[in-house]
Amino acid sequence: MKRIYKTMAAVTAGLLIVGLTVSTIVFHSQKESLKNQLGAVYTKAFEQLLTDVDSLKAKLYKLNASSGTGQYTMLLMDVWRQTGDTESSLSALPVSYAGTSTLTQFINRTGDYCRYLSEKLTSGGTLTQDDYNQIRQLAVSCGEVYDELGTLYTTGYPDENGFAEDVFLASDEEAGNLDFSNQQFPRLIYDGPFSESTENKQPEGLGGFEVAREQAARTAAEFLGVDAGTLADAGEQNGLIPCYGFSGVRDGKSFEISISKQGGQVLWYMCESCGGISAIPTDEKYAELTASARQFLTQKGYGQTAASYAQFYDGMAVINLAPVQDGIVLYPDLIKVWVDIPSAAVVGMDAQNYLMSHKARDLNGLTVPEDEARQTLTAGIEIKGVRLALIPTDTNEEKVCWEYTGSKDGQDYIIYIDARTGAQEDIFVIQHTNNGTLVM
Amino acid sequence: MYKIRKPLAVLLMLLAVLFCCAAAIPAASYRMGSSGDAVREIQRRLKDWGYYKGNVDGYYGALTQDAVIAFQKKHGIAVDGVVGAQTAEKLGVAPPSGGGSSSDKDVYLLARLVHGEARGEPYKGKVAVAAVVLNRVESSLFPNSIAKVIYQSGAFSVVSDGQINLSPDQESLRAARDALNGWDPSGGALFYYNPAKTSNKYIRSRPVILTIANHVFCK
Repeated sequence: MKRIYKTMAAVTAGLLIVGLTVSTIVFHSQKESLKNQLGAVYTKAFEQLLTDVDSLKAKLYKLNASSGTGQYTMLLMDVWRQTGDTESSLSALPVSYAGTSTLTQFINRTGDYCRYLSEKLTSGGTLTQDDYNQIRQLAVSCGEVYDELGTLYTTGYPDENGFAEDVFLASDEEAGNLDFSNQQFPRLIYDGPFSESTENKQPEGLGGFEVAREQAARTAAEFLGVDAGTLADAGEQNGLIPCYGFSGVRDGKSFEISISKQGGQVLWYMCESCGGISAIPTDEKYAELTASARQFLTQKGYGQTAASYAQFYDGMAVINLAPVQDGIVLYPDLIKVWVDIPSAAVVGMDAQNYLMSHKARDLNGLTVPEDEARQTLTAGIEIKGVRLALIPTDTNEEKVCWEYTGSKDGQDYIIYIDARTGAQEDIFVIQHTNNGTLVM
Repeated sequence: MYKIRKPLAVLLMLLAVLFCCAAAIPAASYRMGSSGDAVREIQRRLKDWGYYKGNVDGYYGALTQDAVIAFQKKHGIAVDGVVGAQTAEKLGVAPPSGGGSSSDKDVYLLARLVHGEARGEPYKGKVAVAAVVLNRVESSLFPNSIAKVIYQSGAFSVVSDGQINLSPDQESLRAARDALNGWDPSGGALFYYNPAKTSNKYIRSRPVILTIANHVFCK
């Protein structure tokens, strides 16, 4: 008997050893194969980045030598498209934010700037000497980036271990030596969505002076109709619009509210949600919800507002309302109001846009009458509504436009015609989803 | 041998019962003449959303059918006046079957990130995590789409450990939607970290905007 046991033990141990060896070999070869595949994906991205930066450099140099508005505009749009590809290749690399953020910014701003210039040219403007100088600087900088990447490439990065090894680094370790954090890039002076002036926009709607926490607590209590003594300190926030936070309970539901330190205004307030289904209410019910939201805003001193689109989820409607001045809808000051659908009670508000943009505005001097603007619309569009609206451009400017809602070939649109120049300013495609309306 | 087989048989029977139950759920539908608590729930929802004007009495009559038809028209569901699987799901009387339309793609991806990164955090902290992603999309220092920001190398640990692929819960979905609607409780933050879990010097050197539970949000 004992002998049988011994034999069985030996056989079992033998089988275990063989099994372990086989599985280790299989596991290792699978790991190697995955590593190679991933390495290939990343190496491809790196080589693509080299190609993209090379093309970008060539296009910028062509711009530097080009004359004639038509050719120049085409090249500018070409650079803009090329920066999009380059940014995609860069973002596909397994390299950290710290090493590449300045390069990402350089690429984004180069494209943004060229798009800005091309829009300037197509709307009849001319380029300044500064613009030409900036284009030359961009070409030079792009050349430097290409040389840097080229050096990495020829010195064997990514080498046989290159990116594949990086994939197996612990998350806190810095990957590779692709580091542009010390590279000097030209500082571009222009107005675009990614320009310094736009990114560093400061709030214009705060006004007043700095308030102390006690005063902010009184504002919060008054806004919510609760006793200031019942509010708890929910910390503070030192971001774009520095705020004091308060929390409390009203009608058995917890809430939180943020009051700006400058001017003591409500940035947002949010009640605990009851939850619920994500379904669209009837038009009649929606009118009731909108009326409730508008009444709430009037009570809180935001004046008259007009409702635009809404989303419906978790038992709530999130309604976008824009203040109205002299019959003109002010989209830059859009306020979002969360309304509980069953009770039509307001359960939240976000006034960040309002605090960022609201100011006294001169809305006079509209020279293009409605019937004239209508003439410029595309043929075959069925107009369902028109009103005047102030819209924000992507460079933080504002334009008064005739806002047309209509449909063409079964698709709903909103089209904006500048009421001062008659130029078509923007087009939105309206998407009707199961959760409400989206504008794109 | 017998001892081994018995639990196996029990297990097989259990599996069979489970299978039958699972198959039975979608079969339930409510129509003219149906009654009971489920009908009452359907009527209550339809009334809250403005479709049903009658009494919530638990009896599926003509008024209820009209309301169901109007509800189906509004939501692009095949109009038959019967509360089948799709209508029941939209009315919240059947569990969601998962998936969504392609216009919800951003919501879903963002919600998966929130679910992985901020499970157990307070609701405001979840919205703030989603807002950081959106602030990055808007910033020139980061890639220009939600997908590129989320999948940027080393940006979010849930991408490398695979938690990003978990199904998001209801709260994460709502947080993603609230952030996409513009609510930013992070105060414009581009980074956040858990001080107990990170030793990254770069991120720890950034100016702090606020702390929400376990996460520090910074510029």
